[in-house]
Amino acid sequence: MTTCPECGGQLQFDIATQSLRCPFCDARNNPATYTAYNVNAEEIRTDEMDAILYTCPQCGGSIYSTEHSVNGFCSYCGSYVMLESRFVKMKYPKYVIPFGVDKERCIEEYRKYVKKAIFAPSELKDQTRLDNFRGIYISYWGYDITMEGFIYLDGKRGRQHYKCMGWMNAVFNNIFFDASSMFEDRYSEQIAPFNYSSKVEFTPAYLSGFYADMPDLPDDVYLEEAIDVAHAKAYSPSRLNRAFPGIRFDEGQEEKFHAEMDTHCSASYTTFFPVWFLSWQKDDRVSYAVVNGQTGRVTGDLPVDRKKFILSGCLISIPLILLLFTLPPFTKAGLLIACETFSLFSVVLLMSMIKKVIIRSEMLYDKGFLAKSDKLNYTYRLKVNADKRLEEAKKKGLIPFAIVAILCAVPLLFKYCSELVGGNAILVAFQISIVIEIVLLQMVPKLKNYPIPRKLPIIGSILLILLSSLYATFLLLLGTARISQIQIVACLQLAGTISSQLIILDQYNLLATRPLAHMNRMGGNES
Amino acid sequence: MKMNKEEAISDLLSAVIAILPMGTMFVIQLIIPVMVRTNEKIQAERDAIALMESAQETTFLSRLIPNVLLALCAAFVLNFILILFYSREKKNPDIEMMSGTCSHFEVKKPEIM
Repeated sequence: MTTCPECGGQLQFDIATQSLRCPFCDARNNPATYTAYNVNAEEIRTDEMDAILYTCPQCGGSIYSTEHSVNGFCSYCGSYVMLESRFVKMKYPKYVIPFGVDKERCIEEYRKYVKKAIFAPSELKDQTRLDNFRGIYISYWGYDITMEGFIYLDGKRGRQHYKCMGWMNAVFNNIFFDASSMFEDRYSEQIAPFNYSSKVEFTPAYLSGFYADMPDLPDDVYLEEAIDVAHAKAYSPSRLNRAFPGIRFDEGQEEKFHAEMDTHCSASYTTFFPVWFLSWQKDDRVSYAVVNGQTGRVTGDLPVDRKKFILSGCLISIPLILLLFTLPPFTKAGLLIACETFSLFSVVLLMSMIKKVIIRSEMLYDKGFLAKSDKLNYTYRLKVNADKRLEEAKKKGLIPFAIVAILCAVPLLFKYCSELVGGNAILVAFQISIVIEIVLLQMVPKLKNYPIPRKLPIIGSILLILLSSLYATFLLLLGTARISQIQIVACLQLAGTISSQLIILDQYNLLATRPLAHMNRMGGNES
Repeated sequence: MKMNKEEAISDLLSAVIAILPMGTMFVIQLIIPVMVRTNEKIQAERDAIALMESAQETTFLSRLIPNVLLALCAAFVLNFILILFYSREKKNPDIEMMSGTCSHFEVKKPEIM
């Protein structure tokens, strides 16, 4: 443990001075050279150190620290619980990027971030909650990629065609991917970059006052991505033009170029990246706030407070109601067009949200999570399944939207064409109702993976909109409907639309939060 | 020869795709005003009748519920637009800086033929 050589007090890493400071006697020590007086020779020789492993009894999330007293708060699930602790040997990372942003600045940056989120729950801005921001070193895998091979590329200089040849060798260092399955890839992408030129060799002193999340993914999970990054960098025209000046390379030669290269990982190593981390638990969901501990860049989940949403909706609707009463009453078709436009917007948004929730629940975009969730078959899943399923999910999502786009364009054309035969507005209303019905019918099969309690309100809302839309279609075809009948249909449709909008809000909150994790973590290359 | 044919088809398709939206817009701009103008009078009469009918048949109370629901729907839509605007995840342009550094790059005996 990092104890003060002068007075024996617990040393803390001081961000402002980048030194180890004793809060009792104000002694300063260089963390790079500091060696605790009670560290034995064997410990210095190995790449392990003594640490305390704190485990949350609720979610199983574990975090390493050198501190003996950790407050009863779990950074993974946001629960206020007494963390279970035990002494362990913790494996060193090779490098560390020390914290450069202190807690006060982290809170200030986060406040700026949530300020614009007017519908975010007030608890997110609560100072007591913000005090729970924890400085955690997140493990990243660093890769050094070496490649060599014969280049044989076609290109042009002016109008003249050329063949470019040569023996290329290149080394790319410091290609980083987060090594923790808990830390979603999208967080690491959003808080990037870290300036890794400021990385230093790790010593236990850097951990004083902070926590560490050890790697639970083996280094081969992101190796393929690291190689892809190196290939893309090597194939850049600016780099190749140093050897072949003035040549504009023909398109579509990347695969040929990569196939010729003998590429391998010359080194992989773990590095601690500094991150301020906070979680907030509401019912059985948790949301995270993440701040880059070096630059202060913020990202996080911003759920919407249902009460704030409804209240602001009611307030905005008051002037709109007054405005509607100052206008002449709606005609039959006008009223239906207005209702159906809102219904269409809502059902399309609802379908898009449901699609996103499905993709999110399977975490198809997070290779680290997939690798961890199916450790034995992760290579197969990563290479074959995940990419394919993600592509399929994206493609499936495009087809209904293409249909909707075409069908939306049709009534607009009909609107003008039907001037010759009359009843243009009726036809527009009719067309929109048909589109709504198609979208709703397409939505139903997507719900098969939804749990029944979550599925029932969606189906109820869909049925209300669908039936009212069908009834509207029937009335329009009949052509003899009275305005009172149309008003009843409109009210039913609007009620269905409002309920679907509230369901959209729930879906949005599902996307902005995650279920409480039940982790069973293993470190690094352990199996 | 095969490549040339494919290239020609692809160039033709690209040209068609590039011209199509503009061409369609041009045709619509030409046709629609003509169609609308010829029917302006009939349409105006029909609209006036529909408006009169609905004014005769609607009361304040019968307008209240649809208007309230409509306004609420519109307000929620506005809220959603706001939420989607502030929560949109932009691609972080600085992610590129995490993709490593090139410590060595060399092409031995480069030849251009």
